[in-house]
Amino acid sequence: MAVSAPRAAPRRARRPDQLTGGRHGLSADQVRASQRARIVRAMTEAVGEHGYHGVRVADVVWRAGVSRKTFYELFAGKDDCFAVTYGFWIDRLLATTATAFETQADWVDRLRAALTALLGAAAREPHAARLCFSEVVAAGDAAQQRRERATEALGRLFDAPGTPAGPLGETLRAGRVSELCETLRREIAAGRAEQLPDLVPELMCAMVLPFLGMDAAQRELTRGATPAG
Amino acid sequence: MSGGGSPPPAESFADQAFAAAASAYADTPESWERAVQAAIAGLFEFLVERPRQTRACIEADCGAGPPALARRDRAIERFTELLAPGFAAAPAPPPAIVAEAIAGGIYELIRSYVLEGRLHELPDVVPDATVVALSPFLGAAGAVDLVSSTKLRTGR
Repeated sequence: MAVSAPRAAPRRARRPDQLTGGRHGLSADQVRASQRARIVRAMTEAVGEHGYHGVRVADVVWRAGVSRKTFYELFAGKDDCFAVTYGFWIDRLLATTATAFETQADWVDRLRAALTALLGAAAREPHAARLCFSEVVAAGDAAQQRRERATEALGRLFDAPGTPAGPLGETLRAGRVSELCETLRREIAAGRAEQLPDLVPELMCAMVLPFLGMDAAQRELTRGATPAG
Repeated sequence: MSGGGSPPPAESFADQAFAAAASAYADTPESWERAVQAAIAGLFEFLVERPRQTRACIEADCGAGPPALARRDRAIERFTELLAPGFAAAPAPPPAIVAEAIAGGIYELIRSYVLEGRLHELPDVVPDATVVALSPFLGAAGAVDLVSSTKLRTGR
């Protein structure tokens, strides 16, 4: 059984990123920023271990080394904190993905670089990956609104040459994003987040198939890796 | 249908939903592509006619732990069986993830419509879901042609 945080421990060792008590020469804004960052990290770890429904504010407060009062000064509640944490991680994942996409010229190379970067980043941060691709579906409206924007951003990866303009093109792109997200969700939920990079060839096969046909899709299974940039 | 005692309600509902899709599929001998289209239409119709149960089933699947995930995976796996004939013409069998991605994409479409309170609109997106499901086999243009010809024939 995995070791997890005590559900109601009153004291814990100071986190490495936790400020020392007393005089530290930091402004109130810097202290708040430090507390906020620790809470985001704590929410990530807690969701990674317990899932969205299993997380209590008490877990997050304990892990972050802040008081409940501080938590509620910075966030409206669990949902708000989750949405901010989701935004923090998904923005980084999307930026990593977009940067890799731009390193290549040909669309297939771009997509492969982007997926390699996305799956690599998700594997390096498995708790964040679980939060972004698996647990977010259980969260509140604020997280769902951010998720819709992330879905739109991922859709730009599938702007393949020859994609029909208008609603049909949108349908094709949205369909691939749904397939990509659902595949990631399934793998992560099965505890295979750290093995995600192994899926790049198969995922490429699935993603280019509607646009380029079976022969081109099959070639993706045996192609060498494209540097993620 | 399979025996073995009374399944939990959500699983039973997923079984019934898949049975509706499989029945529509089997009742469309014209071609495999048309059968897939009919299966999607049959599935969506079944769900729209049972909004309360559909919402309960989807909401139960959202972050509800391993049993819900396993149930969802089973539903996706069963739908992939309907796609299998489409791969028969491929020079080499594509990895299983291709069919799982298609079925998972349709599940995600249903899930998003339910959670956005737009379940009643699902029948309107049967053509879209059909294009998503069949474009890996027919190409985007072929899938669109199929859907367009259906519209011309039925007026839907």
